[in-house]
Amino acid sequence: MVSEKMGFGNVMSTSKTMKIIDTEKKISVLIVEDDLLIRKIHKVMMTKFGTEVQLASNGKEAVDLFLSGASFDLILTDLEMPIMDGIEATKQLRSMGVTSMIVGVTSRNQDSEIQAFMKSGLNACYVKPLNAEKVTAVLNELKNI
Amino acid sequence: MAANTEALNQQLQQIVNSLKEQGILDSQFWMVHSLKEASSPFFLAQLIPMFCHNVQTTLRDLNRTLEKEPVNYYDMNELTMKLKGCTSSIGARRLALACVTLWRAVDNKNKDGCGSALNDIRQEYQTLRSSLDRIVELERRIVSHQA
Repeated sequence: MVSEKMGFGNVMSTSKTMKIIDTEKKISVLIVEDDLLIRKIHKVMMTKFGTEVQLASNGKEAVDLFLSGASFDLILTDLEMPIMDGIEATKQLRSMGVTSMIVGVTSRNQDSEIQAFMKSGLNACYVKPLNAEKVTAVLNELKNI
Repeated sequence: MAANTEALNQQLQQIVNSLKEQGILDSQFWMVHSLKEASSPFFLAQLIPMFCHNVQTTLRDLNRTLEKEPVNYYDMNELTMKLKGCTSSIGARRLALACVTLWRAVDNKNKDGCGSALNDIRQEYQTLRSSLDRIVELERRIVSHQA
């Protein structure tokens, strides 16, 4: 079983240089999650942390948002989703030149599964549940870049 | 009115703390409860019925998948992870742990083990469900007192 988190110093993937975050404006977050309950919890959690949140219910919606010109400082993405999963979405976003921080949030906790997810281009990966400590760590990492 | 709200909040706290002591809920539940401030007073009262519907639907799908021959363990795996995700996200600790037991049986392609694990999940859910109904009732009364 893998530890709760991988990344931020233990990055398996060749992630691109992070874009500079303007700390004066709100951090923009895209939550990519097919489960309505979890999407609702993650949205309110990230809003409570003072970020601006947009939602996508699968990887294709996330990719389409970027193709339409949207950009986000942070993407929180589930692994398993219909139409396009988190691995495929992350690969596509990185191949499009997206330099946002991309963090996986998944129920899976086997080493091989997490590493496969990380290899797609994640900056970090957390096992659900997303809690205040994990969100704080992600936002601190984002602000310190 | 304020005294009533306080008394209701205390009742809620007692129920949740008792469930935490039994290991049925964990600290994630209080975190989710605190999200009311960033959302709406009805947040938890709306979330819990969604959670129950999620669990019931996924359990139904797991049973159906297990009953088919041959068993599609890939689908069983996906459904188990879905259930694990929503139970851990709301703080239903024992339910989430029961999902891990199911996952192991699915991973080993052990049909009897899957059946036994599903029974455990159903029992854990029944144990939790009556408390969740009480929590929703209290939440609704708290919100109506505050209105």
